[in-house]
Amino acid sequence: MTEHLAASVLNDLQDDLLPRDKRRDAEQHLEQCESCAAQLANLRALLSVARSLPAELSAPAGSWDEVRARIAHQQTRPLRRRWAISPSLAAAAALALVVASSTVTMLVMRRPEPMTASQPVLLPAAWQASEQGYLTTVEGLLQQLHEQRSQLAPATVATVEQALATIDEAIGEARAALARDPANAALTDLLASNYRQKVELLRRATRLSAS
Amino acid sequence: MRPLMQVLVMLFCATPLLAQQRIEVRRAATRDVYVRVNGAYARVKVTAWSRDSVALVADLPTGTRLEPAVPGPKDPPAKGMKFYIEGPEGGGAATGSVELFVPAGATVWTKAANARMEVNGVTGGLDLNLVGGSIVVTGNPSNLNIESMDGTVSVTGSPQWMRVKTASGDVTLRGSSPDAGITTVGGAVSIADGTFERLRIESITGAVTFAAHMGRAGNLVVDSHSGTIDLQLDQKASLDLDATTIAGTILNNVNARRPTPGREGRGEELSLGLGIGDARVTLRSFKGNIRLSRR
Ligand SMILES: [Zn+2]
Repeated sequence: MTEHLAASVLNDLQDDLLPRDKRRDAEQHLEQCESCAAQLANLRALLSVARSLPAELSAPAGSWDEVRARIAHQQTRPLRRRWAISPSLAAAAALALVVASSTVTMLVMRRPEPMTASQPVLLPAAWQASEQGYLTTVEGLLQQLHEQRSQLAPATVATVEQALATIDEAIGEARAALARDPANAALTDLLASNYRQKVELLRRATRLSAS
Repeated sequence: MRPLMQVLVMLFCATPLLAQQRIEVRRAATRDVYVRVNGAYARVKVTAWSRDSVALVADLPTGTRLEPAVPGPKDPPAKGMKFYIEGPEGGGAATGSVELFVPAGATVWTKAANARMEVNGVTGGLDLNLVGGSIVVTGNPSNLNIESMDGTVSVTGSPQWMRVKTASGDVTLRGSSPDAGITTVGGAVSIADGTFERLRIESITGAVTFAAHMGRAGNLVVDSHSGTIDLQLDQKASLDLDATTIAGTILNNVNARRPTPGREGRGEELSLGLGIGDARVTLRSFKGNIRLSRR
């Protein structure tokens, strides 16, 4: 059996704040663990308010680590610097058309439109699957945020949209630069950082709007 | 503490109370009690005390409802308590104020839209969630998780583990941590005073200033898209540093090493070692400038 559920997890479960995958894990544990199930029952008994369940979505865990791992695996020459990962992507030579991700701004208020190839940029093949996974996650989070938007103050929506626009601009610049220089390790890290920021921001916004 | 009756009425009423005054709740609690405060309030102040109990004192405007989830007064010390504050129907911005006293080892979770959150002396865990306003933490929590949008974050102390995420809120950290991560879109990040082992900072446009000490075998990674990265090293700094910009410049005022042009002639790169070089520092910026200096 896995470790017992932390108090924060039990409370998140009770308060409907757990993402779907974590909730599934927690529920599986609860089916097998009397001690945790009893704690949750206590928690429920204490509660005077029941609140509705918001749908939650989750990002593909570790997908960027997988990209990094794949790139690192393809490395064929010694590293020039200790931290640098030197992807010999030229050897792989496969460049794929990947959709751009800048269709986000204002989507919090409007219904999200399907991501379209509005700004095709050539990116290394190693990125394709993960970027697609990321786009799916972003779309899911935007959809969820759209459904919860009535619970967000207009000022919060404005803050989120402004931050998303800032991140999208950064993603656009980094993607274009990486397409020109696909083996640039620093760019790889910077772009991955931008992507993480976007998913994190959307998750934060959905958590804040879930009561 | 105020008379017990009010508390009893609140606790045993199935329907939440209409609060028009000060409300006080106090219960025996375990030293590691888990406490949640959620809802419509403008201020929450959490203070650690040396008693094995949790006390909540709330000043709430008319029409606000406090929904406590706490055990009865004769029950054994509580392992968990929750307080949910619901603002008046159609009410504007929350104005209520909450003061919470907890055993130092407690774990406290708070969430509010626009509020000032202040925490003092908690050595357990803190999970603080906010849209706008400010969060001020003083002390040495074992776990510190902060999520904010506009709200500014200020931490003074030495969290064992900390993660801070903001959209536009500035983040100021005065102290030390063996394991810290700060993520912001546009907020300015400022770190000073203490010693860090693992520290990771990510920003899109926010400026990052690091003016603290990296411990032996420490690892600092800063990624920014367009924010300036300002590294102010102490005289004893012993580290290996790699700085890279894709389009920005690198200014080295630490020693005589000059940056070289980056890949394809764009941006700049600089690697340098100081002392015996036991700590690692990696600075990456897309188009922000990187500045290295001695303080
Ligand atoms: Zn268990």
